[in-house]
Amino acid sequence: MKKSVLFVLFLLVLVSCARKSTEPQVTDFRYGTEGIRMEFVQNLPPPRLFDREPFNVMIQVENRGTTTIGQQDGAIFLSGFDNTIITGINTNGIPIPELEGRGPFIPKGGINVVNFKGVIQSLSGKRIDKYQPTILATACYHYETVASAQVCIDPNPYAATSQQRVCSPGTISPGSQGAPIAVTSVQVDPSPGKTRFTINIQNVGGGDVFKFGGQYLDKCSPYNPGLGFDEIDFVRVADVTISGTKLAGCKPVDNQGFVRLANGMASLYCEYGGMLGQSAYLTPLNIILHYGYRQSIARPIEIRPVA
Amino acid sequence: MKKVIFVLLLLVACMGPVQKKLPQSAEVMTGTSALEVSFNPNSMKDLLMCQEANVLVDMKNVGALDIEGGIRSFILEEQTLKPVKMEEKQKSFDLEGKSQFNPRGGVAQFEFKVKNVGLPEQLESYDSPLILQACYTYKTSAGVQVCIDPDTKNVNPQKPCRAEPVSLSGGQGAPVAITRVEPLMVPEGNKISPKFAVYVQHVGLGTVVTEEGAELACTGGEESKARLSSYATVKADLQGRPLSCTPNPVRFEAGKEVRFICDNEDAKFGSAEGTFTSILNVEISYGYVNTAVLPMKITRLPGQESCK
Amino acid sequence: MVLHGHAPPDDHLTGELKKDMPNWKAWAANFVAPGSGFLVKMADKFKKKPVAAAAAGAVGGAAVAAAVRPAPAAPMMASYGGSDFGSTFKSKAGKGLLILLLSITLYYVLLRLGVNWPFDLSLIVGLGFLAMFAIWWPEQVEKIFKFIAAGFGFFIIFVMSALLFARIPWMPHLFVIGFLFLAVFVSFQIAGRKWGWIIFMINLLFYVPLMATPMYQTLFVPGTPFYTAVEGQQQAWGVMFGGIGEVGSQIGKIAKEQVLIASGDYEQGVEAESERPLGVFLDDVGAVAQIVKENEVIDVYARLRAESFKTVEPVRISVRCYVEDWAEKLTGEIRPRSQFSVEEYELQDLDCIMSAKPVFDNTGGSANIIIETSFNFTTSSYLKGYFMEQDRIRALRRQQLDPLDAFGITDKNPLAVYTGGPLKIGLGVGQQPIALLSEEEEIQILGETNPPTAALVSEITGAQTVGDGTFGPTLTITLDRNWFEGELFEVGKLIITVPPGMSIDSVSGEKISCPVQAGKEHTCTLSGDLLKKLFTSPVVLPKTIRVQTKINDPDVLLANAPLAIRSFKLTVTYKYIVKKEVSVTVRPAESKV
Repeated sequence: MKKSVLFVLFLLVLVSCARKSTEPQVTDFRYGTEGIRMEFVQNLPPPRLFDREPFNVMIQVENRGTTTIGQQDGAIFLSGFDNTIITGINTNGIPIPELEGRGPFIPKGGINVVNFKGVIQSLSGKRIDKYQPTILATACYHYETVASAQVCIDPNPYAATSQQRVCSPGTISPGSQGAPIAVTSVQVDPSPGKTRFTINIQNVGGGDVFKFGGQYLDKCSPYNPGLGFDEIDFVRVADVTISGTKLAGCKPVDNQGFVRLANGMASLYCEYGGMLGQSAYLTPLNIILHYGYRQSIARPIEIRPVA
Repeated sequence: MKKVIFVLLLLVACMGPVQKKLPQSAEVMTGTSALEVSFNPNSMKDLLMCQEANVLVDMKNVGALDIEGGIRSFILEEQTLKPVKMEEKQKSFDLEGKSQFNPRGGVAQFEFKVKNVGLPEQLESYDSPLILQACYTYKTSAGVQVCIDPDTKNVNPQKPCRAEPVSLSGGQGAPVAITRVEPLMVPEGNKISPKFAVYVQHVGLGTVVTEEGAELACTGGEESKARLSSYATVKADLQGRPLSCTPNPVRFEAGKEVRFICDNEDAKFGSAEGTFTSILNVEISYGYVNTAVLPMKITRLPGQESCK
Repeated sequence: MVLHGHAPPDDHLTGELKKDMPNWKAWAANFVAPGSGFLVKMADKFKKKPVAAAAAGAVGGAAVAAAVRPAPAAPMMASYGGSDFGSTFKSKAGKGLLILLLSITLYYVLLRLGVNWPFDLSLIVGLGFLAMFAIWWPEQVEKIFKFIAAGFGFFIIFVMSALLFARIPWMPHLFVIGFLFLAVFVSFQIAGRKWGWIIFMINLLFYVPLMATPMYQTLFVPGTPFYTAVEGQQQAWGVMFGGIGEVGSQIGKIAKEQVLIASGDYEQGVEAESERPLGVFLDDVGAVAQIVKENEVIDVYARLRAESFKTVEPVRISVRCYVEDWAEKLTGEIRPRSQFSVEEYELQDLDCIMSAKPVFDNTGGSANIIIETSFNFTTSSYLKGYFMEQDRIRALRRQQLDPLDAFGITDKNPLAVYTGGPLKIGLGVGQQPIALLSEEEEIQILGETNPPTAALVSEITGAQTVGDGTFGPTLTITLDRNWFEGELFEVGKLIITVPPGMSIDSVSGEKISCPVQAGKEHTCTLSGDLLKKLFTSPVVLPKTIRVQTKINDPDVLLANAPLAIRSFKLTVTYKYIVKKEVSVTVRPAESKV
């Protein structure tokens, strides 16, 4: 008993004697695998409704990533029901409100709600006990992944002389970047005069990724013909820079700058020839990806005729 | 003991909010019967020569539709048994069906008196059946949830529903039941024209006749065999737009499913409508006949000769 | 009976009994013939067997002779291991003799005490001696018995069966036939194949004529055991073969019925349940004396029992009796009377009295007296019919539904129900339900022009106009025997009733005309010449007639219902004759009966 009391006291002393930092800490804000998170607000819609009633669906939208979404950057659509039974729902969707992404000084992304209002028509003439559609809320938006990693450049990796090196080139895992498309790893392959990077990209958000662009965003709507096979699973490699130098000629990137994901993954091969000096050094590698993203949530409801 | 109570309290406190279940409403549009007729067990089956007998009949409408203008008719061997009141032999009736406010359906009971007018001489007893027939028009109505999916190429894997066959079990509160619906999304250009293969079956215990033959089934007279045949007319609509069905009328065979296909050439759905769940309304109209039999036995008392 | 002739083994008497043997011998002799025991002892003592035997025989008594007899048989007895007369009772022969003596003693003792023995002492003695002879002289006896048994063994069995089993009708002949097979089998075993066959043939030649002919009546004196035995055997076989014959004839009858049913010429029915059997019956028929002298009177009796429903007309029964084949000449007087009128129930004892002399003069002595009752009886039959429009039947059949099943009817092929009595009446209307054709349809079936002309209709259907009624079902009526006995003499009246809306057109092609009342059942009564034409007397059964009907008003028949249940009725009044016979023998006046 006495020993335990002494131990607790010791811990208290440690804690109380820890220095308090006076300077604000910059926390790493690039984490997470989500872009936008949608949720049906509780009881909107309720699980059971009756005909000849208003139909209200409220969806809470939260930016869980690091990219700020503007009003032109996406919309949310409601589908899955017969529009002759539930009327008044706009098939053009509701633009996603401006949601700020998480930042160094913004610990939490923007949250807003999107409200759909409609009316349930009479079901009495349909001679049914109930109508059970599944309400599907689909979000289509543009997003960005910014991945930054410290890579080791060794201009002379196989030099005969032995030198103390600052770093060794290898594989780096940048972790999640606060976006649904993540750079999962960067492999550094040094060679004299050139360093090759293999940048692995993966769809970690659970939704569908498609080409970045306004026309593709429109096609994402469930009320549109839909995205073609040459439009889905494409990510645009907006920028790959190292030491301020843009790496061009990364492969396999098409002439529009898109790389295709296969099974939700892709690998980007880039080369860097502008190395400085003879000794290894660390330098930041920045990768920026642009894409469109689609994700859905569903809720089954039951509509009963009153009479 | 205290430890147990403490643990229990901890468990209760740690439990999340209890999810409330939705109250279940009575299902009205189920069942495979419409009218059920039977002779009440208290009916007199054995009677003495020259005596009257009271027969009680129970009728229950356990179907989803009200019966209006039905006819109930008694068949008896009038050389032996005669109705006390001739007008009771054949009468019309109405009976309410099931609804949310009357989940059990309408019930009626009525009395029918018969009298023995004598037995063939030298016979000590005689068996004669009393047959009750109830004939009425009926409808099977069903709203079947079907998926309209213009995305025949499955471009968008995330769909609220899929155009798959829908099986219906338990009936729709009528003796003719829709057993399944198979939607077919037939591409026509960049749209689809949905077609529905509807399977129906006679699952009741009576006899299906045409709607026009319902009254005829309980009465005699000249009739054409076509009206007494087992045919039913079908109607279907989707989103309020009528569909045309073939074959129509549809002919029932005992124990077999019959199929008809409904579509509307003008009803096309494109990607603009998206994938959604809709209701296909199917209505089958026919006449129906239920029968019940009460075997009656007439006994002569010793010394009885004839009824005066 | 065949005996084995081997020498018996040594006796099995106990020591004590052996000691007392000589005293017993003397005691038995004294009991039978007092005083002879001394002589027995003397004979025993001096071993003067022939003298002792003669002396014993002179004294008399079967037991004495038997007791002494072992002396002459001593040489034979010696072969059994004992020459001493005192060893008589040690042997099997001695034991047999002893048992015999004891049996005789016991018989008399019990007789004196009051026991009424059913058999004679002579039987026991005879059997006992036979047994002893078989034991003492087995070989000789074996030969004799072989012959006797082979040749006359059955006599013994006849007598035994007559005496022992006289009252049980079926046992004697089965007993005898069993022994016949046993005896033949044993004969084959012992005598060999050749002699076995000889024995078998002898017995067969003896047995068959005895059983099959009345020669026993001349061979044996009536009333004696032989006579009684043979008569009992014959009666037993007669009953058995009679039953077999009846079964055989029933089988033949059923086979014939099936052929007729298959060809549509026989309608079936079921008998209505009745608390008591209906009809006229002659029970307990017999003769006061089966053998009478010619100067005596033959009295044959019977009990007349009549049961009938109460009807408007009572059942009249006439009774008469006569000698078979002499119905007109040799008749008897029925007492108390020969005419009876029965309303519901009658039970009367009758006697048929006739003089034996004319019977003897005309028949030579053997006659069958027949008691005959003739009576009028009425049997009714009812058949349920289901009527339905042809179109409705077709519509239901198209749905693979049986038309009657659709109405919940289980009795889909109703049989006619007829009341009890000597006749059974089957009715049939063909396949049910009876389809009602529309006029046009019927005429289209018949006619060739469409629409048919009135002339063609008239020519084909015989109707004056199209609306003269369409063809109805043909009612087939079959009369058949319901009792084993008797015959249908004549049909007096036939009343046919068809449901309202129908009428009777003709019977077996003979047009008939009965007034029709609209909306009511149509009844036609047939009698007189028409019936005589249809049923020639005596009527050979089964007999089928066909009644053609017409549908005059389908609306009345159906009564605005999809199905109508109606009845066809038939009542037949007829004269039926039942005979029973009794055998009587008339002997000359001076003969012993």
